[in-house]
Amino acid sequence: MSNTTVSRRTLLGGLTAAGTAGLFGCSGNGSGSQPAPAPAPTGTAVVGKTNLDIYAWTNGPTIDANFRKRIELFNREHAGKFTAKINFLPYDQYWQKVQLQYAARKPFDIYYWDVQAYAHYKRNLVFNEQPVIDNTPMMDDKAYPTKLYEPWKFDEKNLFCVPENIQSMAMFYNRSHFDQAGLDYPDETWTWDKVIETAPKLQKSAGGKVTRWGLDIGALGIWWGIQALAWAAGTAFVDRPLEPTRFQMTDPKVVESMKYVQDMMWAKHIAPRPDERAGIAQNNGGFASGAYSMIADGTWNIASFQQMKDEWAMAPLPKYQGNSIAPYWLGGWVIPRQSAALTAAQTFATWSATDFQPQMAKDHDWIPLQNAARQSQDMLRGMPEGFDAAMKNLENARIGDIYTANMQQIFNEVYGTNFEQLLNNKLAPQAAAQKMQDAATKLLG
Amino acid sequence: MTQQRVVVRPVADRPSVSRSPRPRLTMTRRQALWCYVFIAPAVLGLLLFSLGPMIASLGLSFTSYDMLTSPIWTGTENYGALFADPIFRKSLGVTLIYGVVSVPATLVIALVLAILLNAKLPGLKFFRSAYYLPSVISGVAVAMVWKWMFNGEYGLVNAALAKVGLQGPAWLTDEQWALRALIFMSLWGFGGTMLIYLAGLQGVPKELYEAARVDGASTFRQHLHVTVPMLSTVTLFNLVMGIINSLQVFAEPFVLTQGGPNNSTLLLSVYLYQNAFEYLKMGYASAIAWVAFAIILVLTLLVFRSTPMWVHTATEDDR
Repeated sequence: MSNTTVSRRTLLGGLTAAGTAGLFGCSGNGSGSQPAPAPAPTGTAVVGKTNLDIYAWTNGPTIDANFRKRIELFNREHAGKFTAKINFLPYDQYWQKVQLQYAARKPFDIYYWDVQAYAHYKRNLVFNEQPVIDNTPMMDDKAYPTKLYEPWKFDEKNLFCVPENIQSMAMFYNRSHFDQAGLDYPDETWTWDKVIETAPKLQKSAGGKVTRWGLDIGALGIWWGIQALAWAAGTAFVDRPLEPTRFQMTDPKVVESMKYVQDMMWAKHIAPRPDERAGIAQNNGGFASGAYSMIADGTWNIASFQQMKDEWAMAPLPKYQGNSIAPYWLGGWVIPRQSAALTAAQTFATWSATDFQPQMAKDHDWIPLQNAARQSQDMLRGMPEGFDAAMKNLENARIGDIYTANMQQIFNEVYGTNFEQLLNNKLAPQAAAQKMQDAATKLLG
Repeated sequence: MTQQRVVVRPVADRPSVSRSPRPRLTMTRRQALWCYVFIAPAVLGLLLFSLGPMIASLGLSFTSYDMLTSPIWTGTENYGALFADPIFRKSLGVTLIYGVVSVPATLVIALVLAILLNAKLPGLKFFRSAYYLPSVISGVAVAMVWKWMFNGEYGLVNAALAKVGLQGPAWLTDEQWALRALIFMSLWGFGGTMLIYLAGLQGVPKELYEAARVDGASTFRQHLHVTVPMLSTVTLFNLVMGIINSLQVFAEPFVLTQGGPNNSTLLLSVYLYQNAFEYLKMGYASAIAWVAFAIILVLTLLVFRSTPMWVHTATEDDR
């Protein structure tokens, strides 16, 4: 046995060298121009394993239970061919897991879309699913709202994930509160000015504290909610949602929209301020508990509002400066190029967007993409009054996302921080707009 | 001559006969071998799960890495960008304020309570357990409880303040108060530090207190001139651990404020997390981690350099 010893310096040096060598070994064509994503295989042969692992984030008991039922139905209809299993993750862990799976070169077989997945498209990690979708009725203008797909055609021609449902924004109101106050219900003729005029009539106080607010700004407190007002005023936060070239936060119409929302909470105080909202949300949950009479919010809340004790209904987003333009979002499935169950994943995604749509209408959780299902009696039965009118408003709707490289940083650091300051009345609308314009423009580069 | 019975045993049962004697391990070598066997899991764990990732993160800090594609070497670009990043500078400032206030405050509270709990009084076991309990509860669970307590409208803290005629602030949504709320919450976890002080107190010779009493020292002076110097090595340990922990605190700000409002609670670890997992800037996040490591190293070295001024090391003469 030799007496050779390894000094600490040599050991650390060796480990550093090994680490660096490993790093260089794995470095290479990471970014820069990527080749156009290849189309997904469309043949009859099954590519990959037949047991499919589906990943989605948890959306609460009602929606999660319906998802499980959907998987059971898929497994029954595809018995002997494919077996699917759904895995739920909390949203705040979901994207980290998706990215880490990609980092490990073992991406999920299929996962639910959100704006973060645009980064996966940008890095050529997902297939062009257009050839697969072309084999379904999904491109039939009469059967599906194909116009709504346009912002999802990231190369302006093809879809890189399979859409299956739509979400939008609407005004939800507590009918019981309106009945008690003897007021007319909101409808498609309502303007935001009328909402502001009505809200104090619904407000209740006790012991010097407001116990029920006539209005909560709801999603108007999020950047895309305020942008809906800017759209109605004839402008937008960016020149185009897909790879914008400039921000337009200092456009006077955008600034005016921001001031309009800020005034609801501060100048007029007809809606709770952020600290009041936080207290209400934590204490009793807001609209669903009857703490607010009206709220502008996403249609994904319909399933949870169904559990409310009070009678409630909905109306299209009120008009601002004569127009009502709501944001919309598509929900759907992303299939990685390295999916281990490619055919099973494609089958599940297209089945969800076609054969499953009537059942989706019955489930009342997601809003089906297929026109017939969305407009069916099954869909409307049990849905709140005004749902149909809100859906008709989709014709004017615009995509509620922005697709660009640093968008998460823009949403969080720029929009998140400055809108929070604006809504807390710590920043004047013009100052907030200027800060956002400068910071977002830097990140756009 | 009696006939011997010959028993033929299967080969496997035969005792092995070594033709040449195997070199026997000396006791020292055998002990060394067993030592290596026993420490192997810990060493392997350290190499695989600590040192390996640390070296990898050092390498990644010189790259642009989004986790989705391979890293690209960018040299010191991340470090350059870091020092030009106003949010990083703000985050660094927030972290330093947090550390500068919470670490000494925790040490003082822990020491005072350890002294109180070292007295021979009834019910001490209950109080020792009660004070230590928060240290064994998960940070996320603690943060959730404090989120309720700090609720501006319905929280217990403001309700208590209202009882004495004070109107509490919006603790977690007001930029002026959010960091103070986090620091206040951090003090709740003094149990671990207190326990170490309590252990240290058992080793302080009773004669020193008796001598001080004979010299006419009050209880406060006894602790100031006997307890504090005699526990200075314990304080050194607690201080270094406190500095390290304060630069790594994550769960509480992440759950309570997510770094807001207006980045007023954006501690370094939260900013690191945002860059790594939300903005897909793992290279940049690695650079943040190494800057934090360098700060910890420098602060620890400064503390060690200062020890001759305030750390009392027991010698034979003391005894």
